[in-house]
Amino acid sequence: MKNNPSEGIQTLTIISELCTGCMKCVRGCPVEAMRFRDGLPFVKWEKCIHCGECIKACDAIQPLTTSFLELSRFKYTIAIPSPAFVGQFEKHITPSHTFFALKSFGFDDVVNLAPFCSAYFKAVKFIVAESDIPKPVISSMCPVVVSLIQTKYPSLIEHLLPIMPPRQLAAKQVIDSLVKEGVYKKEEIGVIYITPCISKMIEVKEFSEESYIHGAIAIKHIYNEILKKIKPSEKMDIGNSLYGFRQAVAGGLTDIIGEENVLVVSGIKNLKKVFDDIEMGKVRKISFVDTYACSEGCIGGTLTVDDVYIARQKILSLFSKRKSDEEEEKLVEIYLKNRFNPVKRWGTKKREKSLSLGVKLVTMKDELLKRLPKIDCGLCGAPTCEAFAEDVIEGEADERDCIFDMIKHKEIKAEEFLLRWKKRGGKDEAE
Amino acid sequence: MEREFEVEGGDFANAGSASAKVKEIVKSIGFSPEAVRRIAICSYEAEVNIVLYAKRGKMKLSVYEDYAVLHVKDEGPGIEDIELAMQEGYSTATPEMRELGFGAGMGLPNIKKNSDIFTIISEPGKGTELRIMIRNEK
Repeated sequence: MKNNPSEGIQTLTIISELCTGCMKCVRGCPVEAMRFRDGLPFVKWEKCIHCGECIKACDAIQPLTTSFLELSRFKYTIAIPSPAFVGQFEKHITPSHTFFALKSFGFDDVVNLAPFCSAYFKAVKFIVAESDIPKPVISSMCPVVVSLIQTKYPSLIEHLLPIMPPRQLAAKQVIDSLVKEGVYKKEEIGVIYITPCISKMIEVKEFSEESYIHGAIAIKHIYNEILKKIKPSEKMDIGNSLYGFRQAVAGGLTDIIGEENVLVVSGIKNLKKVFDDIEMGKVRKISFVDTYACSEGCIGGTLTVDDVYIARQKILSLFSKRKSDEEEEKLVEIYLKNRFNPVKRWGTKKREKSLSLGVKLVTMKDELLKRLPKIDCGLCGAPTCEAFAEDVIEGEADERDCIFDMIKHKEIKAEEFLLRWKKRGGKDEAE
Repeated sequence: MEREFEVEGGDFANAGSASAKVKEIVKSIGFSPEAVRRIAICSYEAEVNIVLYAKRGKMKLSVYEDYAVLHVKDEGPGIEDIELAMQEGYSTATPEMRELGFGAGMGLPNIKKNSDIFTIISEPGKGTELRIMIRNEK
């Protein structure tokens, strides 16, 4: 795949042999970050929010997650299964079973994220009560949401919840205590997230002081192996705090904050609608927006196995009793003490331009758009005529790449058309 | 650069669509996030006022070197007492409008709060005209 690594973090790869040029990935991208160029999909990484919609659309696009081989560089490895992980198995297979199976897989320890999730929502209650943070406060747990806000809704950055995501706090805690014990050095410890989506790879790739996670392994990549290792008699003690696993379901933990002034939003299309409304000041009397890029929450992630609604039913019915303990209260305090800037990891993607240049570019784009057919045929390789117009203005495409422009200016021959289509990946037998 | 949008009175289903377009334009031109926020709020409040009270109206966005101007003109009943209308919480909204979540009496005060220069001209029976200037401050 062609791209420039300096433009952004890469979380997926394209298997060129599998690509037929159907453009499902280009059309499926909710932020128009994909193009078809020189016969293959091309990602504009600076626009990509790592939602994984293109992976859902086509097998030729594969996630770039951590491989087991990479783990050999650590002396001590810890797995943190995402809450979505526990919803992927039959009901009689409990988290104690699956965590045991994960451990026998070769991890030195497996951490229960549930208490961290419950405590997170308790901490939200305190943050929301603070007067200096603009309302509604928007959850910053999902990296796709943070990325979407940063690229499309920068005026809402101030609304993002300024505390660490549960997985990061859990990783930090376990690293800190191991280092304190003195047996392992910080760099010898590897924390691996068992992930339902590709977005956690942003935290892995941008490893810095802001991230404590060193790898992310896809649930669906280890699922079969886990099944083989599950034994009814062998369980791991993971404590009593399990209610927090409901975090995998959109809105599963909002009862902790009190639901009255909370909005639960999932799916990128819905998020955009709500963020548009918040920007216009249309969302009133709402103090917190619980956000998930995947429909129905993390259980809807691209890298999960089970049907999203079945997983939802399992998680909500299995973890219905809420127990609050001292441990959880301590975690709430730690959340509140460790304030955190959720956009720092991505750096600021500001493009400095003067308003007069901006006006010029927008006017040029509008003029060009008038000449384009506006039927979004995709033969130029862009998902829409508007996206194509932007590419032309940015100097990445030529107006003559539009097939309608060709027809207008000269008679285009059938061979030329075919050649063009082949260049896009069309197979010979369809001739 | 100028762009003009028509707003239909009583069209609650589409209330906010003109201001959504205004917001997209100023974003793509490169206004700062803070300026985008203020322009979005002012245009939305102005648009909702047309939908609530007027027969129809127009909202024009003009972009200059370092600021934007919203010129909003409606064919509505006009405002009897502008000073009163500018007070927070004062509203002539009907119970039906309030039922829909509008008419909290924050519209005009909100525009004033979020703009750098705000003028309002209104004559009962003729209509209302707003001029809202917002600077592109970082």
